[in-house]
Amino acid sequence: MNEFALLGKEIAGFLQKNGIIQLTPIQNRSIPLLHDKTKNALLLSPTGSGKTEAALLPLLHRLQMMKATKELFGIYILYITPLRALNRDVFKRIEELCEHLGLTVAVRHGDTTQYARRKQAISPPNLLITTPESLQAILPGKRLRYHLKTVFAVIVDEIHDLADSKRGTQLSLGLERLERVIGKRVQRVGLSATVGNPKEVAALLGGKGAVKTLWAGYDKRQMELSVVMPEPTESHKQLSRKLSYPPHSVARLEAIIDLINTHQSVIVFTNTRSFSEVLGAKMRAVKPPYDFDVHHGSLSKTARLSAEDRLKNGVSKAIIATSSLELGIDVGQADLVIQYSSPREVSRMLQRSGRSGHGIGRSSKGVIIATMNLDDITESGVILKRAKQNKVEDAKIPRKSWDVLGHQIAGILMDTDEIEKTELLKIINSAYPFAQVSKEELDYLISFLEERKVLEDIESGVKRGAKTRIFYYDRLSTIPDVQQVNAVDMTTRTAIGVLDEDFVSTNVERGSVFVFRGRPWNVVNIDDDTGEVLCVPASGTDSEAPRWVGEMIPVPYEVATEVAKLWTTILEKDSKVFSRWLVREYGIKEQAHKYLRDTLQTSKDVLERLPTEDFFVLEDFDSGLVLHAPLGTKVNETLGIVIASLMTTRFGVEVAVERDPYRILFTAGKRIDPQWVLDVLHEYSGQQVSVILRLAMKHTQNFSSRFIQVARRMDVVRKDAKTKDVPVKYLIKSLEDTPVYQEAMREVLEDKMDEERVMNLFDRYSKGGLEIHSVTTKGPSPLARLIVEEKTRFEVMGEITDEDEVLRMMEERLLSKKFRLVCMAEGHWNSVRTLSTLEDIVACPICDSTMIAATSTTKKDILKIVTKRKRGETLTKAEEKEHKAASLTAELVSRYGKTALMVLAGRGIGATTAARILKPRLKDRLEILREIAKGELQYERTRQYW
Amino acid sequence: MLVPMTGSILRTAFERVAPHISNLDEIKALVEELEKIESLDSLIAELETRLEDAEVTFRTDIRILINECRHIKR
Repeated sequence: MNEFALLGKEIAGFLQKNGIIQLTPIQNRSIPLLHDKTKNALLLSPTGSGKTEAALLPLLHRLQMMKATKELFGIYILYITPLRALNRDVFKRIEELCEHLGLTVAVRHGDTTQYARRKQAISPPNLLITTPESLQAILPGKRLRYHLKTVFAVIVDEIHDLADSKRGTQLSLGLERLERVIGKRVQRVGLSATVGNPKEVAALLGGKGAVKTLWAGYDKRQMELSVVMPEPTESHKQLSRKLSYPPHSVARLEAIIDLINTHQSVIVFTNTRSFSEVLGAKMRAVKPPYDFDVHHGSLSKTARLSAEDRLKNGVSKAIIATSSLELGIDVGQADLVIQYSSPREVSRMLQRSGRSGHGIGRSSKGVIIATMNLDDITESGVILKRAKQNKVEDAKIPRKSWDVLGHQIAGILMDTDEIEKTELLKIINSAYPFAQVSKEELDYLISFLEERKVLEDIESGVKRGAKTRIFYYDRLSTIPDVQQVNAVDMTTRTAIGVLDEDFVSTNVERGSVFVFRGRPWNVVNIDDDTGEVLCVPASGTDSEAPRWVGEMIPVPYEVATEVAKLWTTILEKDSKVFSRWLVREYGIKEQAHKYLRDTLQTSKDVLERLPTEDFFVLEDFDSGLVLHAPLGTKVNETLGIVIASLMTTRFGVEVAVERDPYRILFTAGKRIDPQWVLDVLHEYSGQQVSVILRLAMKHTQNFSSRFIQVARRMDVVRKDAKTKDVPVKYLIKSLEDTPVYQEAMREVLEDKMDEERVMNLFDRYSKGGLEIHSVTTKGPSPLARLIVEEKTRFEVMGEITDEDEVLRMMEERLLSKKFRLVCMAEGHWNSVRTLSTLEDIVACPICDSTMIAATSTTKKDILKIVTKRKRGETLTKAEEKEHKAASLTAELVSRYGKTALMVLAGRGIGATTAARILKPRLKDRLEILREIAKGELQYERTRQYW
Repeated sequence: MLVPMTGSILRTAFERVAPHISNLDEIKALVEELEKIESLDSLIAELETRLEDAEVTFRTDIRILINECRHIKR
């Protein structure tokens, strides 16, 4: 069959004119299928294989046929994507063809102007590209609702991304509502490159309707992936001092720069926003011979767009990005993707590496730059192998989300004013995530919504309530609205990252310690105005650090267990074939081989055996206990909480717990007997564990945060209420039997925990299906050190542990400070100068006097005051004060030269403090810097009293 | 298939689209005025002539009405 012929002459001609003479595998398969109006389809094909066209071409052809028989008036095709940026891209891709066919196309999302919206209401586009939230907004709209009546097909792009969150759940009911508006079924088409559980995703897309899943193009996909671990050379060590960046990080930085140099266009992915900034800043300091940009979600839209365009147009050679560039955004012809540190998930790896060689027949090329860390290297290797095998993680579709359902019931009442309960239940059950909702559960939710005046319960039906409209429009988005504040390292004045506002309000106060970016931080102050958390690095492995993981992405169970298998196999492999095998199977390059083998051998020597999925090692070292359990982030989070809370209850010792995907660290004020862990695992059944977990969860920060988010979505807490103003504990207690509590618990258990696997693990241990080997070590083994010393994992600010380096960074900041320098002797020199440009002795260039006052650059009047005094005129009180302060600084500059200015550049350090710091005439530069740091610390602690 | 009289087509169309109409009174008046036209094609032609000088939102109202009449006809 000729698929081109099925598209009609005009479309085929247009494609051929644009050089498209061959369709891609997914297009070849989808065109005949979508030709049949009744068929829903899930199109799965690698990134860059033309899925958008695979779905749109046959539908546009149908629309073109319709146009030949009647005048088109209304929206006929809806194209839904998860991101505004994707909307823009799809629009650009399809605009020309639509114009050629005489069809209209427009985009509508949160950023669409009022003018454009009005235009769409007056003259609806035939194809509307939108987001799920905008669909929710237009569904009840007076005019657009009429325009939607003509829709015959809906395309959901990047469906895996929506399926994994409440956005997909909401969309599934949104599609049912849309069909009610239209009065008949519409053709539904889902698109994705990475779906682990296509059956479930198809069910989410199709509701009660059947969906045909089409796979194509995976066999033709070419991937050139590798894992490298750059090691520092002598020149890296030198550069390291210059950049104030650790040698290993410099080696990685240089490796990245070299890779960019030898390629045309490169995307460098990092796992966190803050690290993309750090990398960008360090790269800039090296001054590479090309332009590059940073791209992440916290940057402004203009900055992101400009970065995308600059790469696409070849102005820049590289872009350092986070997941903001992961989804389908076309950034042109990138020929290499670099991933900094393990991508943690297979789907992430595929999405990211797929950004290179975008397009059929082109090989995608990706390099993972691993840090010198066993977990990081082996995890990267395993993810690479699984990516080649297309073993993608399942999308976890939330089921029975009461907040989403409550909102959609309000939506249905916006569509219809009043509805019979049986009819309502029928609509709800049509959507896959709510297929199991019973009549009793619906009644329970209805009575809750009635109390909130969202609806009125009228025996056999429900009708619109006083607050339906405001409830609906205020909560169109299911994306949690979490406010964030900056955490700032006050020694270096650099942001170490962002913290959730609710975490700060409940857990952080002056003096408290929290773990962030792999190290404990001591909170010095919280700025009342900006909300900034000012901190300094804390020493030691403080066990009071709260359980908190920041922006880190969880490592799935399947990846973690395979990583542990790899550890064992590495030691078992014959040394002759070992290297070749690691390169061939896992893409791990030779540099890392010796390090891997040595680390694993030492660990095995100490622990006697290496942990696996069915064999844990319980390591007792002096100051803590590590359970080596390679089960992934969620299982270990759950297991850690359950074991710690049971030990606390049973043995009366407050146990703190830290976990990573491969092990759990328990610490307490006194020694923890390893037997306690074994007893706990032995004596409780899976069922009991489920109850304990729920009890333990109730008191966690995680639950409180989720509870407030759900409460906001269900109108229990005002949307704009600040977390610190909400009496969370009281609310949780009083709402324990409501859908709010149930939903928050469901969310936290499904998103953060793995209850099922942990229940199973307890049962298995009791039945002998799981072995635990206890061992006592003199100090933490290399495997234990990965959690004891690094706490959270890999990179990056945390790598700067050397005090000298921290001080050097501070010095850099001080040297960049600008002062207004004024000659106090003659009053004829007044100049704004940067500290770094001055000589050691600071003197007036006109009269050579060293009595130079150093003031803020904004104090332009200081020279006038000096001259006034020289003329013998009386100064006002304020002028007198300024003159005195200036004279004091001049005395210091005269005696200590540039060093005095360096001290004065410290935050909050005035002339008096500077005089105290400088008095003993410190000679050592580091010693002076240390004193400045102390002075700054003192200022931050006391500034609220100033 | 039995096609209803044009007058009732116009009325039925109006009743169906009324919730989506911005200028309800004006459209109601228009329906009353044009109900007498017997042929559907003449009715649509007449409605189309009204489009020309109409203000934009009123024009969309008329287009919605035309669209619905065509839909009923099918």
